[in-house]
Amino acid sequence: MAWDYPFPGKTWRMDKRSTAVSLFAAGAAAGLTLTYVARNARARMRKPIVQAMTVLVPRDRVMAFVQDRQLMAQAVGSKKMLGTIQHLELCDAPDGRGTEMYLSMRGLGKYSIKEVLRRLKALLEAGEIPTGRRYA
Amino acid sequence: MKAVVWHGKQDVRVERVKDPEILNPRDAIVRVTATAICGSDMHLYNGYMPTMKPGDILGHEFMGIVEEVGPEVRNLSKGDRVVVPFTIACGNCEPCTREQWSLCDNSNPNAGMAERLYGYSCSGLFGYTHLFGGYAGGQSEYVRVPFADIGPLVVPDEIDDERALYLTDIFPTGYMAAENCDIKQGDVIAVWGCGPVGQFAIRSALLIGAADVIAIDRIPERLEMAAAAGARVVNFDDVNVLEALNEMTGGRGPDACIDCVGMEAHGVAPDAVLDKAKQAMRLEMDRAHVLRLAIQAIGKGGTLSVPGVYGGFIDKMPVGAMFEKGIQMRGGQTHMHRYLRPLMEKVRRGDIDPSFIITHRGTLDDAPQYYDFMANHKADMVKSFLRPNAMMQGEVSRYERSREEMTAASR
Repeated sequence: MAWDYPFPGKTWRMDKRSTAVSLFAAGAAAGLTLTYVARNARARMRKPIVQAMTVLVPRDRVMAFVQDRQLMAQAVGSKKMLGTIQHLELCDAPDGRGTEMYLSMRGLGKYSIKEVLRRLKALLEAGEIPTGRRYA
Repeated sequence: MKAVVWHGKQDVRVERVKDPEILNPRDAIVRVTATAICGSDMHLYNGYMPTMKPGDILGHEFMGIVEEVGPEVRNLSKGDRVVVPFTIACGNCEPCTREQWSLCDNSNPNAGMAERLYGYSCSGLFGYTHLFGGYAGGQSEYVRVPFADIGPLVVPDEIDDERALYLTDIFPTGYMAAENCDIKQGDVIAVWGCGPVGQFAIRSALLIGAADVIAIDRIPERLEMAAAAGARVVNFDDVNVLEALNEMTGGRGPDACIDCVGMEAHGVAPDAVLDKAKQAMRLEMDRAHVLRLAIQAIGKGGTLSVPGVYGGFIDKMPVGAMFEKGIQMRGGQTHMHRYLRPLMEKVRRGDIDPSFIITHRGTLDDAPQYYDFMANHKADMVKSFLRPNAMMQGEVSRYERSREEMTAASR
């Protein structure tokens, strides 16, 4: 293979061997990338998505809150959504820094789960969910 | 009500919009009596901060009279005259209890968006993009103030609006910038940018005890204002700033530098020109020429304080100079609630009169023109002081109006 580029008179040459090496390298890179993506996707499917957040509230108060369906429905969005909670774990944060909450929910991605935790935290700490709206 | 509404790059209009309402138990409605355009509003005006939407109400420096409070607001009542800090804080989360009010966990309803960009979100801000909550701003006749039991502070009668207004942002911002420098006896502080925040940073550094302050800008009236405060001035159009600072500090370099410029730095150095081109092509968010220069200029073991707003990512950061000289860098939105009370006391005592900064007085209707003045450095503008039109025309507020209507109806 030979062609004139980019300057007339200068010729780039590529023999069969280097073509094969290039193709092999490109194939190997593509294969490795695909394997990495597939492994990550499989791992994500196997492992439930868990998101964490810390609230500056003692564990017993958090416990009482999460056991109240009315309040929890407010945090999750609706009573129907309460059924999607897969796992909720509460642990004491170190040095009296409140309670760590670990939550996973069926059918929700990490950003949506984080949003639920954020609403839960706002209700527990501030007593209301913030809004930037101007009108009811 | 009337409000200053953002419609796009360099397009702000005064329009009639619906009045705000109490939405949460800790809300209050404040009738604005004075407001101002901030230097950081220029980043919105010039279209550099993402997540603005047409119809957003601008303004984060405002004060006024409490007209209505939610059931959970017990420390304020109707008729109180208050200044409102531009950062919104709940007062109950971990950052708030550590007095890091501008890092409140609970006041930004769009924290998820900010987390994707910054890792963690800062607090909500009035009138400053949807990234920081999408709250309506204070360049309007009425504002809904969330967490009103924590933020607004009642202003004593002896402090008038012109002296109180700038406690809502620029004075505390300048003060925190100076405080972040850990000023010790004999320290020399270099301040880049002599806009409103720069002017307060200069005065605050001198108040805290800096031996010398060097102010850097290129606009003569701003440099004059800095010189009047007692700073030595450097016009960066006339001299090489690095050489000038080295000479003025006896070869030691400044002990601390304050970057009051932020993401829209001007300059003719190659990095500044490249930044401008990249920002125009949306390949870079911030023009960090001043930040680079400050890192270069600062003496060994110095501190870099950054009150100027940066929004995203920058290139060519001289990390080597930071590391090898042992520089520490401090910045962030101002922890307003920490400074409001002590600085108000300084104003009441007469240690400082913040109204020195006002160069233009007008009404809300003047806001579009003032935005143009400020963005393009026209008419010698440094800082505006705006009154809502209703006040200027002696109109009655909607609450007074409805009360009058109710009284008339009851007759």
